[in-house]
Amino acid sequence: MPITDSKTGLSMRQALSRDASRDLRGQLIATAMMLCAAFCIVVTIGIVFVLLETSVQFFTDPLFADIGYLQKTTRELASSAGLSGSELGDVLRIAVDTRERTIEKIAEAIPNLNPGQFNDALQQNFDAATDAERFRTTVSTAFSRFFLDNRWTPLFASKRFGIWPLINGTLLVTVVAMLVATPLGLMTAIYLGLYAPKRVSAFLRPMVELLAGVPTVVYGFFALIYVTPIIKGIVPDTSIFNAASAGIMMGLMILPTVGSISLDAITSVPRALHNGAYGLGATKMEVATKVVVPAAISGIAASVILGISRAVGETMIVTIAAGQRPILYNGDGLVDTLGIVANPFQSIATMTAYIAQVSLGDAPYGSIEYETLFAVGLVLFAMTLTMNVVSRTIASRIREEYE
Amino acid sequence: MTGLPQGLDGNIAGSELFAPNLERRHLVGKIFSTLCLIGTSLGLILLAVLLSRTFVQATTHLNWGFISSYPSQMNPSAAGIRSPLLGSLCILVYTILFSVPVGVGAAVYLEEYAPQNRFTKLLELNIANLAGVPSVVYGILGLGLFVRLMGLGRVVLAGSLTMALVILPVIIVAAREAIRAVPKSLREASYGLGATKWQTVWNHVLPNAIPGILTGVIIAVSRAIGDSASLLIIGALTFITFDPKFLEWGGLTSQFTVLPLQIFFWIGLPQEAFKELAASGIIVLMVLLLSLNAIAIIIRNKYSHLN
Repeated sequence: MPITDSKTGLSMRQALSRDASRDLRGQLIATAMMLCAAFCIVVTIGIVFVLLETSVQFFTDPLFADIGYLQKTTRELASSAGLSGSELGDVLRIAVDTRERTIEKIAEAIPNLNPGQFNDALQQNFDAATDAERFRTTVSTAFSRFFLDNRWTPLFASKRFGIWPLINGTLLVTVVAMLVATPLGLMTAIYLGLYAPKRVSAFLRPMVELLAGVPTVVYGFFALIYVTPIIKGIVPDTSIFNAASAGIMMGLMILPTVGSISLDAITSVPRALHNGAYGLGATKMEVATKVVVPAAISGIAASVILGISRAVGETMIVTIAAGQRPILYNGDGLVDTLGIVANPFQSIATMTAYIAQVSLGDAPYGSIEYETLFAVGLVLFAMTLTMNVVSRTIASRIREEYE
Repeated sequence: MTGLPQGLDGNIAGSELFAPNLERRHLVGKIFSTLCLIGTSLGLILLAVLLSRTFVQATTHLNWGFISSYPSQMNPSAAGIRSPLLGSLCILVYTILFSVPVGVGAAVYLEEYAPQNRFTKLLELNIANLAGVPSVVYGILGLGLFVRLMGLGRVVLAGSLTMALVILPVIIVAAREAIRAVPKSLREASYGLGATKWQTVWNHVLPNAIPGILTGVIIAVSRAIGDSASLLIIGALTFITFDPKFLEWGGLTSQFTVLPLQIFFWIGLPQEAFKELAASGIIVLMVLLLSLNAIAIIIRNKYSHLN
């Protein structure tokens, strides 16, 4: 029998909740706390707003209108001069920035044309366009330059905005980091989850998690001062700033992320599965590798994806140890297409390192350099957010399976 | 051929299908477990080796003079970490002031008040996502919002607001865990005595959750001490040779630098002497962090019997 209030006939719980709702002060405080929680949504909106606002400015920058009409004029003049196929491609490859020299070079490359004529045609094209046309040209040129160009040089005189070299650099460091973090993290999870005595694992787990608490600037120092000379001893061609040393230290930093989420997945595998395998005569290692790890594989995958997302967003290690040079060379040759460069012993730049580089240089507000920072930040944010969501979806699915 | 494997005719030991081969399998198993132990400790060993090498490189500078003198670009032997260390402390104080009330408030709401509905789900999803945002993105937010849009400039206020956003999700997650660990019976006893919800939360839930919340705050703070990417983006890498003013109004609007950024600055200089300074700074930073972590563990162990 629930206890009821003799006057109102309400149950204890109802009477209490009525009292609580009458408590005006309590209600005000509850509202204030809800606002605290809602503040997190404001932060998210703030991040998206700040990134989008300046990225929009970037993608509508007048510079891209100039490049767009430069390309259009070049294409028209070149095809009227009878160029086609690979010759036309070669000429168009010159028309990627807006320096004086570029126009001279284009005029040289097209037969029977002097720079003056070219400039006239360019001006005519530009003036003939309506505002809407010009806007469309700006945006489409900006997107094609940003996603399809193979050079990233916004801080140079010849400004080019292809983000691929930065993404390539980010992926390169990330791959090295995951090559370190995945096997070590998995071994850690298997050892702590299945082999270690309770006391040992109670001691080792916080120690391993300490690896994630070491400041990234310290890992950067380790990579540059201690790891790079060792790598240089093995591979003499290594440059002082390289993706390998940064990646190895980043792997150490991510190890606890991979390890502790994999460990959760491994410990949530039901005891019955272990016992079934033991009953069939499996040894402990066979239980671990053939039963527990396959059963926990989605949790392990989630941990690896989360690790990748951490690696992509990591800033200080790569800024200190991986260099500031967006990938230009593959071996000896200049990179000419959007191909993947996979040599970790060269100097590279990641998206985060570029962001750090621009903020070190104090780019003036409103300049195209300042805008690129937000455009790169938006790509970075989108990438890490996607990976976090995917990782969480996978991890929550496994929890439903076993609980 | 019958559908049955040969081993099932009763002669199990003699069949080729079931060769126990136990010795070899146990040997492989032993090698495997040793490998896993090595894999577990490899990272720690590596960290210990690298830290001890750093310590050796740092020994010449590790004295009181290093702590108490200002950084110098000219004379590495007399340079110290006075202003970056005080800057770090200053940023921390304001970061805690900004983020702990909001974080604990959000945690109390989500654990005690929030109804089971879509809005609560959205809040939880949102906090989980914020925890995964790289700190460099918070730096961009700080640069765009606090430094440029609100026109604060590259000052303590902008830095600590940015840092508060970085550690807010950490604090919320830790505080929620601490509040969840308070036994239900305590709340019911309080309600039974006629207390309102807020009285229960304020007088019983929060006091019991304080050790857990404190542990979470310390862990968040140790993250804030080491995190430098966000402050680098808002432009805190400046050469400062004055103390930040903690308690005056001017304190919030003075320029600052922090210890990890000073280390970053020293690493970037070409002379060998500055590398030694960086190593010494790293030792100080690590000592700070390890003692914070130790405090957190002590608090957790001391009060863990309560829950």
